[in-house]
Amino acid sequence: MERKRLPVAAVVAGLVLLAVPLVLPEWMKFIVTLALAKFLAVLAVALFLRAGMVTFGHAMFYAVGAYTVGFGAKWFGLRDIVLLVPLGAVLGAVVAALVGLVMARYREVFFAMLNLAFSMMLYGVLLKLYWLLLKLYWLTGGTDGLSAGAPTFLGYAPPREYLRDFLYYATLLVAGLAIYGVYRFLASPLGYYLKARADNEIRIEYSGESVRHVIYVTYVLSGALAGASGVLAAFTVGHIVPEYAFWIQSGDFVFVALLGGFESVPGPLVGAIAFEFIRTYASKYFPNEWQMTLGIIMLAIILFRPGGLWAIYEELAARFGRREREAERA
Amino acid sequence: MRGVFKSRVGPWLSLLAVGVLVLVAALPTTVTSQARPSGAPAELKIGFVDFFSGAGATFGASGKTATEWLVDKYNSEGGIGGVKLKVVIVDEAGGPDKQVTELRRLALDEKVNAVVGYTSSANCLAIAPVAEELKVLTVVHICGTHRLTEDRPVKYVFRTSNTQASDSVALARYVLSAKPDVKTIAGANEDYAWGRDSWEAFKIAMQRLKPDVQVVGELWTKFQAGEYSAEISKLLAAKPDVIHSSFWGGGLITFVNQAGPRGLFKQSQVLFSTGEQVLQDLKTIMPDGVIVAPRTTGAYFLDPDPAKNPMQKEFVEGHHKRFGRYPDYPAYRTYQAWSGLKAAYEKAIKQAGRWPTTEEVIKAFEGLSWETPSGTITMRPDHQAVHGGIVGITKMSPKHGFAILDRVVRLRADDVAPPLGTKTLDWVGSLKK
Repeated sequence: MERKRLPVAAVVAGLVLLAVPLVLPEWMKFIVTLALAKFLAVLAVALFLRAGMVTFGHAMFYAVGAYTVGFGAKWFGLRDIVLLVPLGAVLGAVVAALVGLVMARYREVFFAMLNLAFSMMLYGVLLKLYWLLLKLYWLTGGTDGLSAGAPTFLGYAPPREYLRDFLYYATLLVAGLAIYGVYRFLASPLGYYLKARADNEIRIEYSGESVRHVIYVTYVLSGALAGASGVLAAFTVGHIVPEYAFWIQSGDFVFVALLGGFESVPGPLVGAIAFEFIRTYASKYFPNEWQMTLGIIMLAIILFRPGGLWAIYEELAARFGRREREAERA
Repeated sequence: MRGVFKSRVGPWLSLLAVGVLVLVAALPTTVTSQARPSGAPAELKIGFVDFFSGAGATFGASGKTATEWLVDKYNSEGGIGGVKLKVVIVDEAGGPDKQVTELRRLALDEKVNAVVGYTSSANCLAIAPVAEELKVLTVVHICGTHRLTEDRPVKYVFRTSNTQASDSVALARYVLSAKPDVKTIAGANEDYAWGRDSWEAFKIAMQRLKPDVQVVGELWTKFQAGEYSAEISKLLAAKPDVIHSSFWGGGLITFVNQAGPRGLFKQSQVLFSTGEQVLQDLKTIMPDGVIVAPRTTGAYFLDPDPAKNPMQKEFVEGHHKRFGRYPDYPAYRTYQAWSGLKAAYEKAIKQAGRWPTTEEVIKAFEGLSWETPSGTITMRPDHQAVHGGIVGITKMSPKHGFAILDRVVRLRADDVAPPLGTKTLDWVGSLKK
């Protein structure tokens, strides 16, 4: 019964997402595109939350992806999304493989703060490279940022009115691949060890797996996810600034993971979409208090439904399912 | 029950009825005061985007009060071509990705006819391509980066005020005429694009205008650091003749508070490119003899003299009466943006003989000159406005309770902005006296 229900829900969700550009107005389509792009980074953060670890630094890999787009366009004339998404993911993974050597040794608050420290170092570099390498003006554009320009798709530049649809489906495709990949990862022994880490590290070591190895592999995977996320977000937004690496951005990812619920893969997706809509509608209806609105919602989730929006859905689904079963029996 | 109705509600109801009748009687006179062009919308919906939270809110507060005052004034005069204005406000805080989303919402959900705003350079650079994509007329009121109109040509984006480089050049010209024997200069600026670009342009301008000037210190502080004792010590040790700073808002207020008691203003001639904006907040703390500018804006609340300039008088008195604060330069620049948009619409209505399309308004805007309290503003074909600016030196005014500008010099547009077609950085690098 349970096994059957999940794919049905997934197919319905997939169909709904496929239909988004046909049904929703342009500006909402943009919000969903941005949410799907950021979802990948949220998924990366959620992996660690499952393991009982919180990171305040994954904006680092997000920025690596975004600046891959910025530098690619500026220096190499690269603007093909089919090339840049894997490139951003690989660069994110490479940086994660280096930083991860240090990170895999740390847990708890040290892990959170070291991630924060590394991401803020990248933020500083992006900010300063504007001037440090003297007369190499406009290296990163400093706080004013770099332009991303319009992407091409395997060399094809779609006409302006369809560009947003192309971008949406490309983002959806990457998000779909990421969901599949993360599902496979979580279903693998490594994924189970990751979850087990939250309960007892020593038992993992006794069963023959190195916890450091588990965390390192997860870290590299999360770097790739956040890197791809940065590429897609950069193309969607069109402008890249050092704030992509700022701790507030990392905080947003954690916020969204908690909002949606990190215990499952769909949780971050629901969270990412909900977050962008809440943020937009909060600024529409409370232009002076939109930050407070976000804060109140976060507070309500933590106090009343720590499992996030997805937990609320699952509760409802379970209740509904029970009633259905009772009806069948009767 | 009936008695209660009669005794209590009856008089109120009749009062209400009388009120409605009076209103109805009054309505036609206001509506028909101006002939509406054919095809005119019921209202002109315009987004206003500025900082209402975070450090930048110091500018956004002035932008908002100036907008409220001005839009109420326009609406009481019949709006634009008889169409009333409706303002939708959006907070500029939250980063470029939020602003890009918000502009889409404004254009496609709120269906605004135009957008006025953007104080941050990162935000105005981020939204410009979106404004072009969505074909929404966007009037940028404050953002300082020259890249907005120089990186790539813009069609739907206009900027109604001078760029940041103008501020640096205006200060260089003023200080060289006030103190022609300057030998050493130093800078204390915030470590981000605004501060770096401001100092770079000032340094180059000084070296161009007086080649023997020596740079004896370049100090970079954190964005809105709030603690400047190390920088002040260094500046005191370096003893430069002139110190340039583009600090602004809360950071600038803190810096003046900390530098004053240590005698920095007595030792060196200090220049603040945004200094005019904080005079009312600093009250008696701002010492005399500091060179301050309202960036390169052509007015502050006492110059041009309100007694001689009715437009200035109306703005200064109206704004002060309603909000308890004299308009500062963000308010004047907000005025420039709204009045420019209005003038462009009115010219387009006249040219078209009906309600104009956005493209017709754009065509009317190009080359348009319009009057504001800060003087005549001219919109060039590259969508960058040019206008003069004032610079002055602080002098305590017991009447106002804060420092005002003394020895005000009015710089011409040609002296503070590059000619059409010349890139700003090339212009600063080839300045002549």
